[in-house]
Amino acid sequence: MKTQILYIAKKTAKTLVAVLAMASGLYAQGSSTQQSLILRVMELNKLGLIGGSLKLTIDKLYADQFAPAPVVNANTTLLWTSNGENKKITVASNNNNPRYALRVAPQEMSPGAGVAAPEVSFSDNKNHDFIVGVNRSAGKCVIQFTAAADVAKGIGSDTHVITFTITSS
Amino acid sequence: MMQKKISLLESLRLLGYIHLLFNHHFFWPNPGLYTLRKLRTFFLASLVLGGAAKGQTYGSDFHRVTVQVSQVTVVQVSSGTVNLSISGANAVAGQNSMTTTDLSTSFLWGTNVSLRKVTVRTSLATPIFTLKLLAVNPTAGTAASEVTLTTTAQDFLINLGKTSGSCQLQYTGIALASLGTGSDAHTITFTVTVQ
Amino acid sequence: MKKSLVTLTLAGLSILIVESASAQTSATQNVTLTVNTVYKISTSGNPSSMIVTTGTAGTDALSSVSDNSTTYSITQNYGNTVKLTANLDAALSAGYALQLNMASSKGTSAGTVDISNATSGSAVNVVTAVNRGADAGQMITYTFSALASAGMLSSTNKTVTFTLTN
Repeated sequence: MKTQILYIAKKTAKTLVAVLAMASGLYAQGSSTQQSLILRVMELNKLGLIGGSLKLTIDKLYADQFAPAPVVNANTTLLWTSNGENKKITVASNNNNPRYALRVAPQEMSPGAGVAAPEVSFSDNKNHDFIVGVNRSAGKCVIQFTAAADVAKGIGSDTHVITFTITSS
Repeated sequence: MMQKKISLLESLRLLGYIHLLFNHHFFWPNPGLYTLRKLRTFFLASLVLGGAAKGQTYGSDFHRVTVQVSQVTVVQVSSGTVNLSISGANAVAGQNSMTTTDLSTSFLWGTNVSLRKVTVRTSLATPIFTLKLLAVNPTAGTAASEVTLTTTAQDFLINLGKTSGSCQLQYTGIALASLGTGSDAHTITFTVTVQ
Repeated sequence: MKKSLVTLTLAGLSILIVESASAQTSATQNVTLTVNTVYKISTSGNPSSMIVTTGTAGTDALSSVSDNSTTYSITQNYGNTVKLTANLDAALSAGYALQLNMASSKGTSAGTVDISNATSGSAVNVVTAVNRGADAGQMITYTFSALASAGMLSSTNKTVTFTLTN
């Protein structure tokens, strides 16, 4: 009796081993390996101008005032991209004492790309806010220059180097 | 007359009596004859002891016995079964060839004839995979180069002569991944033959 | 006594002679070689850090960076339906993208595949119909890109898992 039980037990054990071996073969369906990556995005702020140099020529008079009519130029475009927070774009002229009036303001801004600041009149060489509230955005706007001259200033010319800068607020 | 066999102890006792008797001054009043007396004791003792050691001889006869040793050769393997298996552990990514090795069995031999060698062959004519065999650490003879087993007998051990010895059996299984999975069953025959 | 002693000696000699007449000159051994299913994949190491540092004014998509400094090797003997998949340990946040291109000479490469949202439950095929055999030193190309609107990303560790399966 004991011998029979032992025989049956051995046979069962062998069968179990065979089944387990087959099962492990069924489930061992692949092999994997891994790679570790390091990803990073630095802060970057980019500005660009399209349009090149400008020349605003005042050569007409108001019809009813016999005063020089202002001249507007909206032929240049400012582009910017920033992935940072609380940035702004400033504008400055290197001409800190112009003879004639020159003003600048952003027009047709990309929605959500910032907030237009009030028109800037160049009378010094300081940085003035041009676009504020720039947060993780890319945008563009038309740069509108307006030149005006008092008749008392006579004829002549002013030269400005206008610089746009993206900076922290 | 019935002759009685006496033991060694009895012989020594008799010798002692003889010695005493012949060395007593009663028989030998002249001290110069002491040496001759000793010789005589020895002679008589020899007669007694010789008679006792010789035992009871009744007669003798002889016959011729011939021992003849014929050629004897015996070979065996330590186990009749070897199982080799190739799985992921035997594979290297990027390599088509996968290898496994078994050194679990031994080959044993004994021969009383010179200039003998052992050859090996397999019964499997067209295996899917490659099976190689090498004799490792033979205690006698010289291992031949590792062989790829075929149905043709190839040298396994050479320069066997009047020796007995053993070696490990190193089986190496080689499979190409491009050939897929499967199983080869070999019957390997080891044969001692004239070198 | 003498006669029985002689008889015993002769018997002993007789036995010796009988044994010396037998010989065993061959032995056999049953050897089975079994080859099981094998899948094996490895890589040459980890790629270099991928860091986005520049872009174009007026464009939300920053300049992407690539790495092709690592390779992979495989061995499989299962069949010709084996494929290679890839997934990340966790999906990337919106605005960041990771693409993967696995070269292959044993199968069909899926080309450049976006794995930004491929997790363990949604691994993407990168090579299919891989033939039995081995393929060694095939190039792995990563491309990491980001939108300016997604903001900055501090140094982040990601794990890519490659699986050879059928």
